[in-house]
Amino acid sequence: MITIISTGTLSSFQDFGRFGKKKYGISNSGCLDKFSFMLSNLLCKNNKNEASIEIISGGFKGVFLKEITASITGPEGFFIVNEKRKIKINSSVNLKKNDTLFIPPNNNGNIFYLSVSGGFKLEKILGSYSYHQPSDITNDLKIVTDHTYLFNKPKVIKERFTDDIFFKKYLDNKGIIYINYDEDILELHPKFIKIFENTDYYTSNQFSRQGIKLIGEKSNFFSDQNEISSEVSIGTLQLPPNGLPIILLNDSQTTGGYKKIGSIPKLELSKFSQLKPGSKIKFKGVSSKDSNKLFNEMVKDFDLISLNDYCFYNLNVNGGLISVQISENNSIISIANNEVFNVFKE
Amino acid sequence: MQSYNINFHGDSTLAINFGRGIDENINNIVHFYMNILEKNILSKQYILDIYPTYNSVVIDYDFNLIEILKLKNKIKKIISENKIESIKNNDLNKVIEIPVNYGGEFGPDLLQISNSTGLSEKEIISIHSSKNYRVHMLGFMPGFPYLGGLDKRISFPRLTEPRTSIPAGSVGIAGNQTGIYPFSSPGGWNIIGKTNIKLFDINKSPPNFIESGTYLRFVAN
Repeated sequence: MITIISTGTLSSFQDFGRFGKKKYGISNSGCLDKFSFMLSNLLCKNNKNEASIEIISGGFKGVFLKEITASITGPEGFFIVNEKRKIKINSSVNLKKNDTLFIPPNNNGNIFYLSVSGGFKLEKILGSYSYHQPSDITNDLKIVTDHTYLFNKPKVIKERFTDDIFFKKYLDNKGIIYINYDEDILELHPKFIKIFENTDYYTSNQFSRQGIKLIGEKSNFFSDQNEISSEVSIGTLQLPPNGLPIILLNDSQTTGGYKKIGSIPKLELSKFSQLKPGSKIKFKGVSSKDSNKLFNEMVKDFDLISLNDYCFYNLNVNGGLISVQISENNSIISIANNEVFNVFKE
Repeated sequence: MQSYNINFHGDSTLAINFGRGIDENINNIVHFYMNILEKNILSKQYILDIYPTYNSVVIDYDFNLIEILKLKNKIKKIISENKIESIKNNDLNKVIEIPVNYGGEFGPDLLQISNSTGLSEKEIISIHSSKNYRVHMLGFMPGFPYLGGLDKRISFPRLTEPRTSIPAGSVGIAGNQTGIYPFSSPGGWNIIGKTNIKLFDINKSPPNFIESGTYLRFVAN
């Protein structure tokens, strides 16, 4: 069992999502950063699709009422156990009764996952454990302060971490986001594409599980539009008459009426949803054939991720407490005191 | 031979388009093939979703499990093997009534539409509630009905910037479409009224109060 002390901006249960319900107008939902989600389950030796707690923007705190192995994944940084043990994100940790776990906000990204070995005890709603933000049909899957959530088959396993290059390679913002353009844009609007790809966009603070609004120079290409509503999906890039793009995410509507430009491929969705407000990006067109190929390489690389065992020490040095996380080959993974947290690369 | 074209959207979605615009005949064809495709391929692992829009059947698929060309050929084969002889509109007489409180706090955009069109609020209400609307599709959010056949006199463009929150039950107009918001949500439609009917209930099967392919009529309270 875990009792929630603080949820942060939004914390909810998520799995891969809910499918086959769009004819009722129910979008997929599901984890925003699929790879950090899968890693959290991997660290806990769970099924890939076991429901985890997705935490947006950090600020999450909980107290464990039963011994269990838990993992925290997401952007590079640390989480804190019992207000003194600072542990590198993308590690699992063995927790005892009454241990507290805190995930502070982080400058490197937005989304964290908390998994527990053996999973949480939950009821599926319309075939999934994913909370759907825009309706009240899945409120039981939203994490609420002071509530206690049950574990399914709690286990204590070895504490592990990963330092794999995978997350640097695929999830760090390198300033370019690929887009699959819609056919009509490719055929009829090459001029628009040229200007669009030369525009610097910034992620705004209008970010939710439904979508992200971008800011930048306003486009006047489709300012006069009166589209009839049609299908939209995770990653659809819409350009409303105000000329500023919106990228739809997992809890978006299933249909929309603003001009569709294209879609952010699966390859980019984890990276995109981890972008902090104010991140600078440029778009670059890619064929779905090429983005699918790159995505398949990404999935293969994920399957090769190496997990390592580690030990943890709290040392008293000159009256101050220092946390040291050491891997099985004796190299330091992270070192921290009250002010500084350093991650060491091997 | 049924004419259509298949357009890809992103890496995981395709739309089989049977025509353009909002047209009951096209929407009938959409529902005919939607049912056939559901029966034939919805159970396949590579199919994630099949759903109708005004003029297309949309399929979400997993590109890791099927080649796009193979999927396209499969769809073409199913369509060519199932010709429409005649579509009987069995639901033509099925009309669901939706009571609405128009204007004022329930419909904050009614006044703006009245000012811009030159019609009085009363005239707009009378036009809006005087006919049966075809439910072309559900979408946008759980249980939201997209209705065709809005009288051109009260057609009105979407807001240039969507509102951050619209109350559940709000009745709106966007271009030549009208619809009802089942849940509180951000949105860009002009709100002219509000109903108290619950359009989506997870404890009911199916959970949607209104089905696509039927008709509804607004009744002014």
